Amino acid sequence: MRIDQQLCTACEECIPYCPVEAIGARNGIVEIDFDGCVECGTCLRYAPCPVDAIEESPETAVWPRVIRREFSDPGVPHTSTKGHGRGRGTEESKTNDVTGRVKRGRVGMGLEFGRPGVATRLSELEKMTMALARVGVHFERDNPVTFLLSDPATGKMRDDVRNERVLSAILEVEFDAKRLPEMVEVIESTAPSLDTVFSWCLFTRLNDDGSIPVLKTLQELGVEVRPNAKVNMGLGRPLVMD
Amino acid sequence: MTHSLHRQGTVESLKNDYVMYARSAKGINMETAREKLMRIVEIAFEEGLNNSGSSYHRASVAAGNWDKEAAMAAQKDTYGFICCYDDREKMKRVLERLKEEDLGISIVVSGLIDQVMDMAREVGLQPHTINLSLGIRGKKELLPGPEVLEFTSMCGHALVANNLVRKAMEDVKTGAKTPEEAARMVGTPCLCGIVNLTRAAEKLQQG
Repeated sequence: MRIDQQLCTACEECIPYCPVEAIGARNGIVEIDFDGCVECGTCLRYAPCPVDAIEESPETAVWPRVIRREFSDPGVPHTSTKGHGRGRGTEESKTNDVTGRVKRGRVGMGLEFGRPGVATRLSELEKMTMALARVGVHFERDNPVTFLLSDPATGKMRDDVRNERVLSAILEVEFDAKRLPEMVEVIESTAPSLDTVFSWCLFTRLNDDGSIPVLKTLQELGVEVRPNAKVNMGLGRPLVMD
Repeated sequence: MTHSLHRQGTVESLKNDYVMYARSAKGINMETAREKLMRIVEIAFEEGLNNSGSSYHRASVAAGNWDKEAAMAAQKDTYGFICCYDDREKMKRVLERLKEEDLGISIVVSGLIDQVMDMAREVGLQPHTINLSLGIRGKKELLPGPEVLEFTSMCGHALVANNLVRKAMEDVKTGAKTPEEAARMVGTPCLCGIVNLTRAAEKLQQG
């Protein structure tokens, strides 16, 4: 995004709308920090600019900067990253009752880098993808982050995208529940090296009595489980019971 | 994958905050989902949803460009529907009706685990899968305070800016906006329409 300085009246009404605080005023000029902008389009859509001075830069749609828009603006499909089309991740638990993607005894995990509200360079994700690759994790094939890895076996990110900054990007992995302690160790030991934050989630099949199979392990590992969750109510058909 | 999962706040403030998803699955039930999703939209609106929207259509109740008719029309692409409830009984009633009609579309409810599981028991549903939030890791000193995070984390794509929340707080404090008007301002950038407008207004009222 950019601001047309011929039109801008420096009213500063747009400044609070930027989720990554890339819009700033200096010496009476309101500008968007081109390197900090994640191309989410929030300012263009919702900031009440009285003179319509906010506009998309020509570079927004060009590789590799186009990645910023695809990861940061949920209304834009993941065309260049060959993801499943919509959203920053896959449907995971939402349709697991009919896809059976994660079966009993397996665990899905998602690490949403940059969230909440901090944003991230893709190079930050690489720190985690490389750490996870070292222990032989399977990266979700349909996730757009996986497409950006030059080598999923090493977790290395493509050189041309490492400096791109996005509002958030989700790293998705799946593994045998028995490996949970090992994965928690890798994630907890890598987290302090990051120059951003990530929101961490885990999904699993529920036991028939409604209990959560991995809860005891997480407690033993000292991982706090928040009181709110997303629950697939089992209303999809045909129902997969694996 | 995470979306409404990481809503921040105390247990008390997360009560009466539910997000419901209806999703079809490609190659399984997406191709026959249109009428079923339209029926879900009808039920969801009849039971008094608090907010709803579509990132794909860039529209939400909060932004004032999304209603039952728009949501019904949007089901032609058979992808799904998202909405938000501010009351346990409303959420439970929706689940009762969905169980009764057995439409075969995946339904996910985001909320306090105990409450959602209790509701499932009361309605007679057997939940299938759970997505747990394990919190935030990394450079947490970059985060705003919890009073701001409680608002911003209600947007599933982090599109609500910290400074917009601070402006809303200031606008309510100075009387420039009512809590409801300020809540709508905060909720508008959330393209999926899952900012709970009642919860946001209550928090803004409390100051």
